[in-house]
Amino acid sequence: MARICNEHAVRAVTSLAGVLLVAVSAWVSEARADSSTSPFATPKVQLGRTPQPNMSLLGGLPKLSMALPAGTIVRRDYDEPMPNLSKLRYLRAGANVVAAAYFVWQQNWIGGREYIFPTRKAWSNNLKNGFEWDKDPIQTNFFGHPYNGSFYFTGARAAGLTFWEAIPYTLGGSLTWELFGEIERPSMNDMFTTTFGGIILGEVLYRLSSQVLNDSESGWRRLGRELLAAGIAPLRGFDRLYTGNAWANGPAGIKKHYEIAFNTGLERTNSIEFNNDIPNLSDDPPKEPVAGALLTAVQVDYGDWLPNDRGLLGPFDAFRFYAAGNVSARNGFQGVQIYGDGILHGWSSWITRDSGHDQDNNVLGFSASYDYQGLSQINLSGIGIGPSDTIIFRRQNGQRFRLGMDFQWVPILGTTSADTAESGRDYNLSVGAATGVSMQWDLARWGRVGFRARHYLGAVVSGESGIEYTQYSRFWYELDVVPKMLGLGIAPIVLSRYGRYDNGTRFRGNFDSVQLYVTLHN
Amino acid sequence: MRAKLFITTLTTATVLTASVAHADEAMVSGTSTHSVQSSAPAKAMQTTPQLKRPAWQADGSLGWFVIATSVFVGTGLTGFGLGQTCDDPFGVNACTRGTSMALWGGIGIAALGSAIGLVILQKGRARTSNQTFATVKLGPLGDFRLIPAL
Repeated sequence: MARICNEHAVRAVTSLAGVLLVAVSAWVSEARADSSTSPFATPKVQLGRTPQPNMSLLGGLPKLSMALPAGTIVRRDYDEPMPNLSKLRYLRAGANVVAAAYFVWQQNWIGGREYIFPTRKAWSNNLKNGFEWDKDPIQTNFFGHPYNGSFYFTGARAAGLTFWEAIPYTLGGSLTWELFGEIERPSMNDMFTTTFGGIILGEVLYRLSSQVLNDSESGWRRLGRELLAAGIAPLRGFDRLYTGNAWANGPAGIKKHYEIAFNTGLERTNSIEFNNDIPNLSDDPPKEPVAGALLTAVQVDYGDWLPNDRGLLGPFDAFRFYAAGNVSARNGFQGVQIYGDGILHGWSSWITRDSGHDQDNNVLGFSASYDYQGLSQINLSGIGIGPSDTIIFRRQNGQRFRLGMDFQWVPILGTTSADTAESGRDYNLSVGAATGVSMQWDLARWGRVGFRARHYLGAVVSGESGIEYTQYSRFWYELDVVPKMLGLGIAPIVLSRYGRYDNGTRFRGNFDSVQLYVTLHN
Repeated sequence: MRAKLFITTLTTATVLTASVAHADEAMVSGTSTHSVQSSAPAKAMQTTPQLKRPAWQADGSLGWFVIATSVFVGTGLTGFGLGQTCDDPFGVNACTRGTSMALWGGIGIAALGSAIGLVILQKGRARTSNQTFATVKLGPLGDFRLIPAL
């Protein structure tokens, strides 16, 4: 049997999958024309009244709409799975997850990465030798892998699974990649970051893409929405492409309450200090402090924290997401900060007798968080899950005060350190706990003031044995210049870390900076 | 070169899929979807598309064929890759590239084909069941919604 050892064969095989996709998609598309019975066109609907009839929306649901009075708007919750999909969706979710792994493998192959050419020998070694703590850079392990995991999660969600149903698929996708996607031994920390981080990032991105999609639109606006949604959640875009949903007609989506802001400005580093008693190591930071850097950030505050009719909040019915990148003229790309946390399950109770827009509630439940602070001098990243409590006071004039706290188990924590033993990394891996506090006070025309802090305490499981303590705090105040559109913001940030190791050494690091920015928001 | 190949493949897949879908749509409605301009609900109801298709397409049986074919081809290709022996199985050379391409190419074909076959099955089952939700052609807007209305 001849070996496939030349480039032509390699390219031919690569193209084969694409050709198959093209050929069979042609068959799939025929069903779209008669989508009268398509399970993909079956909506969960929300009915509302409008003074002006909108027949384009009515046209999407004739049998239902015929029973409705004219002027009724029909909307669908894009975050909810189609209610009448057959059990085949579980198989299709699996196919999506494996396809996601295939796409990731393609991407790495195109990039010429050397660790992605597994053979039978590599597969058998991976199965035989079991898991280890790997030596990949912190950005690969704590940013790349969670993002990769979000592909598995959104692939399963897009096939019609619920949040909880998609979780084992994320784990399965992670396991598939670790065992069969690389020639390196499967990594324990990758399993944690890909699965937990993928679930958190995946649901955040899935819900954000839902707010972009609108099946009732057409033309360039529809095309733009589909492309943007695919950019936010690529596997959902892929699913919509091959199911024909990307151009199918249907009701518009239910708009959820969310606030989104795009910030741009400067981040000035005030001080970076290192202090250690490690022999032959100076206290100088590994890189010279940078005075200023260009800041670009996006922040999302999703959900109104109000319960459903059973007094509950479902997974990620409310979440926060913050992503920022810094670029400086001197050091180039300086770092990235990503933070996301959301409620997994919450029980709501009314805490005052106020009603309507004034109602106040407390949400006790469980939440999950993903934190990546990738600065050039200090990197830390952790993923947590645990009990949380959030209290919300509302006023009719638009003011809102929210105070939340949580206590979480941290299955994986990465912290850069000068003392990492013989791990081959510049950071230690730990397991531990975290506590977080957050506050946001919307002052209507007087802007917003907020605070978010998280403290981690972990026992090193790979690296220099000992404990790692890290904390991160961000305060902000934003004042609207143009209401509901443009504002100015200031945000001091403090980050510190402390490591005490069993060999008697200690390592401290402190970092503080301030952000000044213009914010464009809804 | 590799990037070009991959991008070309994906672009071709997208464009062809969309084109075939659009052509199919026009055939079903008997006219260009772009020409449907009426906003009257009654007219919207009248234009319910009826596509004549063989029974093996209508009930989604084609889906099983697509799944079986892709799994057969994919398994064969992955099996072929598993049968290869490279002198340096952990190195980066033509043999490991080709072998891993066969391994993952087979996985990819099986996964993509299964996904598409399952969609055909799901749509076929829904078509033959008594599901009440339906979509008819719209009045003011075309069904094929990625192409701007002319």
